[in-house]
Amino acid sequence: MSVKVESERGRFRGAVQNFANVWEWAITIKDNAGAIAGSVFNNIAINYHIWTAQGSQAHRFWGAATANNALHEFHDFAVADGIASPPLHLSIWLSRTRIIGFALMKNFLSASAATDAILNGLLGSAFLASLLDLITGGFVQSTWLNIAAPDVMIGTGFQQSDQLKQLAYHEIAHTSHFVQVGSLYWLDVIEAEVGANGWGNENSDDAGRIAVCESWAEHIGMTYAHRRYPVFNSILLGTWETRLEETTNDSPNHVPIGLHHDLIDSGSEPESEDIRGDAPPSTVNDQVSGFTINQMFSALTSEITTPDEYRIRLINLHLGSTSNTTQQVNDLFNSY
Amino acid sequence: MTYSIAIDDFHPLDSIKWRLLSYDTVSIKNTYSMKYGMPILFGALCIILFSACPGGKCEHDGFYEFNLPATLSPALNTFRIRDTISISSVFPDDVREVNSGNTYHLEDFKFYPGTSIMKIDSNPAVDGLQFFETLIPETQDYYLQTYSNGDQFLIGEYQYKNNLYTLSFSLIPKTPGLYYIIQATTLYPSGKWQTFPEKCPHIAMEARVTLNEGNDNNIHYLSLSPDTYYNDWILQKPDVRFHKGGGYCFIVAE
Repeated sequence: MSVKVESERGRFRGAVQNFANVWEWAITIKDNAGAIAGSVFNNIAINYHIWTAQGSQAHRFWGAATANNALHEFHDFAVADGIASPPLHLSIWLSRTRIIGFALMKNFLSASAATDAILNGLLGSAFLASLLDLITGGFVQSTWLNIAAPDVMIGTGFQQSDQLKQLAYHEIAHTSHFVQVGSLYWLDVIEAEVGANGWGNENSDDAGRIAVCESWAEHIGMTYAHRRYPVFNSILLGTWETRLEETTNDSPNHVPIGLHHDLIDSGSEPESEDIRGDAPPSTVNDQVSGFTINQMFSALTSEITTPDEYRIRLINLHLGSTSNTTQQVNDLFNSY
Repeated sequence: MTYSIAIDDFHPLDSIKWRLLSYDTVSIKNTYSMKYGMPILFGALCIILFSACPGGKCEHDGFYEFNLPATLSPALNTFRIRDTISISSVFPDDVREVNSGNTYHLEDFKFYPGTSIMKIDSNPAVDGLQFFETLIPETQDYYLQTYSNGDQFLIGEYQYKNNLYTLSFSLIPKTPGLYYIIQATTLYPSGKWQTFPEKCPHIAMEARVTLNEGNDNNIHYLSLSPDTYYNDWILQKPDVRFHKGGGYCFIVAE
């Protein structure tokens, strides 16, 4: 019997070690789990325990099982929240060493368009562009994207399920957002993030688009991690929700991670701080509550490329169904 | 022959159980349907792509887990109302990493200590900080934080001075009961992406607090709690769920 980590929702790839098993980079993760006998097969249980050696088969299978769980749970959460479900047939690459990810959506874009977006982004980094051209040439980059690049990469270098799930939910949230905004918008996301070498900062090209997309994905990642692991989690002090409340921006004035939760919650407002930067903790001006994930997601259409456009759209579409005032919403956004 | 299966968490945090339900595919015979052409082509491309990469290797299995010592004194089983419980954590900036056994020089690192107290003699357990008076020196950046759901913790930063990290404060119990204190340290939020010279890229970092030199810290009192989170779940993995977070249990009597 073998267990293959594949469904109509997505298939998962990932290799052990480095180049020793290079073919594993291209094929779906499969565990030859042993022989079984009999004519009736129900409730066959196979446990994939936490790994001890990074890059081992145990690590590979645990990562695949956990990320696969995250994909199915996300579908359930998306229906419950009234947001777009991820597209079917996602190609998901699992890295054994990384603790970050990306959502390239390669199979939903043309490979040449994705290549162009990446190269355009790299134009902002002349050294990298030259280096890549020198090493590989444009042809190889395009070929690599055609046959091997995934829609989503998820780093599995974690040793706790909830930590890997938080990252997986984040990346899958991008795929859900992609369904709403479409290919052209997403090519601009790729170009912006390649150019910024990640999330960049407030001065990066198209920083507003990065801020909108990444803050939303981080909000969903942590919110769903809290929903799945409200009590039994790996955070020794607090929960995924309290962690979200402790976070302002990723960097000063850029990627307002805590904003979306502040649009929802009420009660005490704890001090929070940016993930990168030296600003001391402070308290945002949050007199807002009662917005829903559905309302916020419905505002994040392809016309929304900055947090300020998001603010205006939210006010126009949904303020009337809450008890908040325009001034309160403006004050909250200005706190970020 | 294929069946659909789902994956359920066998246990929330450490292992995964597969069972036949509604997702994914199980092949009830080993099948070798792999197409060889693509892997060979892909492998060749990978060699082209990465052959020019530098050969430097940086190895570290698992996370960096920095060990931070702390002391709760006096280390009694039972305190009286109005006793003083002192907590201090002082250590040099050459910090031991648990998984490798190496010591790293971490200058002005952002360690975020935090204190939570739970009164665990009820089900569910309740936030216990309200049953203590806190005495925090003015020199310490340590304060009470209240979250939107009402949770309360003491949080802040270590004071870094003369190559020493320092945190100290005291608690004075006001109400009898069974308590569980967590004296943990995290690197979140702004310590998440900090680095140090020898750090391998892409490896996450954590901190563990070794309280009272790794004594049992009355962990057996957790079994007295009627709340299964304490009398069962934590006790299943006491190292990562109790000791790593600087856990200590005690009774407060009249």
